[in-house]
Amino acid sequence: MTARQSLVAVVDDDAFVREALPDLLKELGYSAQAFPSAEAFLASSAVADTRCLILDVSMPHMTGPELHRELIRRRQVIPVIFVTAIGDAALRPRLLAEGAVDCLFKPVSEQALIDALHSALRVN
Amino acid sequence: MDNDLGQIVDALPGLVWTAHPDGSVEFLNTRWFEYTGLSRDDVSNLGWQSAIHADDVGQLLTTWKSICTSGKPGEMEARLRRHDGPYRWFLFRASPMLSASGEVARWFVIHTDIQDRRAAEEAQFATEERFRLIVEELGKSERQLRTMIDSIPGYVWRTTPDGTVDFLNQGWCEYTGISMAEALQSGWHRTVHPDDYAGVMAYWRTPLETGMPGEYECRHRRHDGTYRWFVGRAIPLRDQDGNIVKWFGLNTDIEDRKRVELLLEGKNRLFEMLAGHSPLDRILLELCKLVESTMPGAFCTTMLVEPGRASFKGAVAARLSPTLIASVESMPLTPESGPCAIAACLKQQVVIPDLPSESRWKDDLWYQRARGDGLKACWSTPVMSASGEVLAVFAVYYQARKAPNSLEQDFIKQFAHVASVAIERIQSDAALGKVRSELARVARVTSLGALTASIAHEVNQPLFSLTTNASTCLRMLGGEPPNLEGACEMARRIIRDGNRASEVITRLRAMFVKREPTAEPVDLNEATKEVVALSIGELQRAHVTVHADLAGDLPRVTGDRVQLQQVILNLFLNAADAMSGVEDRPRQLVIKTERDGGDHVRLSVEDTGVGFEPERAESLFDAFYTTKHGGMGIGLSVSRSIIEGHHGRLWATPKNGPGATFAFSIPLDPVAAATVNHPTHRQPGEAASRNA
Repeated sequence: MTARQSLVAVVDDDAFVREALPDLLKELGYSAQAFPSAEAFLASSAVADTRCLILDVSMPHMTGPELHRELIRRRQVIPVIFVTAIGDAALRPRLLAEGAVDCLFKPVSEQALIDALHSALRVN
Repeated sequence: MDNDLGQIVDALPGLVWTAHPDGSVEFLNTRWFEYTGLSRDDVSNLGWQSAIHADDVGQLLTTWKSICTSGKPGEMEARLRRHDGPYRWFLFRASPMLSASGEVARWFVIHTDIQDRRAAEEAQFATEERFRLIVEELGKSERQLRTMIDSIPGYVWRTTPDGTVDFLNQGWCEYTGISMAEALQSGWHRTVHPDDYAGVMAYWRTPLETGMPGEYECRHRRHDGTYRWFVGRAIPLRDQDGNIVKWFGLNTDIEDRKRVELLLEGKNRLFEMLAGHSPLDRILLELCKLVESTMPGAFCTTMLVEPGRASFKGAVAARLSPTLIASVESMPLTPESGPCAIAACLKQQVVIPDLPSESRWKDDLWYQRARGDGLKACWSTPVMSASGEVLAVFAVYYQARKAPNSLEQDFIKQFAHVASVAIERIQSDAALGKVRSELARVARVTSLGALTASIAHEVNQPLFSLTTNASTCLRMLGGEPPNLEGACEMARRIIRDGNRASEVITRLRAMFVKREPTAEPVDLNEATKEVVALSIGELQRAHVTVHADLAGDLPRVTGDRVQLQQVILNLFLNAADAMSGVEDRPRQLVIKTERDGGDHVRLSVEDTGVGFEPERAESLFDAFYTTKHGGMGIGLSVSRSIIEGHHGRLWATPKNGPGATFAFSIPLDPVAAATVNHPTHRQPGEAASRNA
């Protein structure tokens, strides 16, 4: 399996993001699947196939960082790129320290997204 | 006299009486009876006059009558008999209390004991009289002159008619340490304080030319180098034809009187500074200078103490070297530390009269520096708050070994008191200022800042899908072959996302200006003054000076006072922000209110800040347009919504010079303005029930 065909999962509670981001990922050559919540992602069969997770930070119920910690607890090694709409500069270093590949602030530029994906899949 | 006033007068700690407008005594307070030992029966009719010295009654009554006739405040002096017999001199200070129509309703007379001052004046007068007699008796032999002159307790000099000194008495030579021969070779010039010299020389020219006696105050140097204040008086000696043969002068030491005068003057200056809200360090610096001028040879510093701090919070000094001050500031505040720290810790005065002989602090930096600066005595006095907390330490250094005498202790006590008043006052001001700036911050934060996170979330969410869809759209168009169908779908999504973002802003604006503005009469000048009062601390800290130019005849507007104040505060804070980087010109904010046509009022806020480009004038009011780091740029947008809610306009104009003017204009009464066009013919009584 080449990097370009890797499954990139998107977990975001915003329906418009779930609609837009997978389309762009497909244009970039990845296969993509979107989930409306952390629980929905964990319950899916995609967890085992996911090579990179683009994860919203603040979501109702289980938050992005909580999902990340749950994956680590389950020893599911999936590189995580966080995205957040809340411009809190203190957040990024904290998430990176917890092992995230990157933390991008919405609106995310295409180039920033491509760079993050590259480093996520290289790590893998 | 009403009861309250009587009780107040009775409670006053001094001797006080009140009188009717015609001057007849109305009420004497308890202290007055205690001092004179008279009873209330004794003083009925004109019995109170029995307490006045017989020699003074006539003059006192004459002056009192003229004061009563004038209706203006006045002063009288007279001796008042104490209950045990002796008379003491008092100053009677009379002030009229005016009725609403401006007539004198009652007189208040307060007595001040001036016995000591009178005694000093009388002693000086006696000396001068003796001197005058001696001068008049001259013509007798030179030998007799010498004997007589040396017997005068003062410093005597004599000049030729042109002012050349040709004689000085022994006392003068002893005081200055200059020999007669040297002094006559214009050596006496060197004894005059350099700051006073020009004034002295200029002053005596007139008496010399006119032949009129004169007197002038100046400082003369003592043999040990310290200066003392003297009053020099000179009278001419004339021959039988009236020609001036000699001038005789008498210099009297008035140092003590002068010190008290300077001290009073200085204290008044300090209290004026306090009332004028001068910064604490400037007040304390003035205090140091006052101490140094009142206590010759002293070097003074005031070191601030703050609860919980391990060292002094800072120090103010005029003449002491900055290196010494720096070493004191870093001194640990423990009883094992230097004398200033001990004074702060033990709350008691620490007098070190002989620093060189001390071994306790020989390894301490401040001690080495103090010795390096030649300081040999150090007296540290704690400055206590009214509640007994240490606010500061007040230290006096000398370059000579020295312990304080009772006069110096008295001065120190007074200075420490002034310092405590200053510090407590400023601290309470600072606390108030902090609360104010916190209020201003909260006002801004609650309406704008705390919402930043949710605003950012609300807006960034649609922007994220918008930019993502735009990226996809471009990629689809750039594909080979181009995916036009997909690109069209993306373009539709982009438009939808754009509309979503715009809805967010509309929602936000609605949130800030949720309710209909309440319609109450608002005095825009008063509203402005309140905002100025609220924000003045913050503006001063930002080094912004505020000039208010409020129209005197401004009619009230109908509107929502709180909302309008939010707009004014916002314009203030925007102006301050726009000036925050300005260093090359004054940061000046001018707030102006005025009528705008017949039915509007206008308020404008002008700054000297960075300004803006004219083509930006409209985008300034767009939500999220900001030129500031960390700003959301929502303030002006909300402000405009508020003003539009008042049927008014808010606009910005760049200035010719640096800066910008933001102004709004609102109608006096939108309802009235509307009804002018539709006049109704109701009876006055019906107007109230009109459903506007």
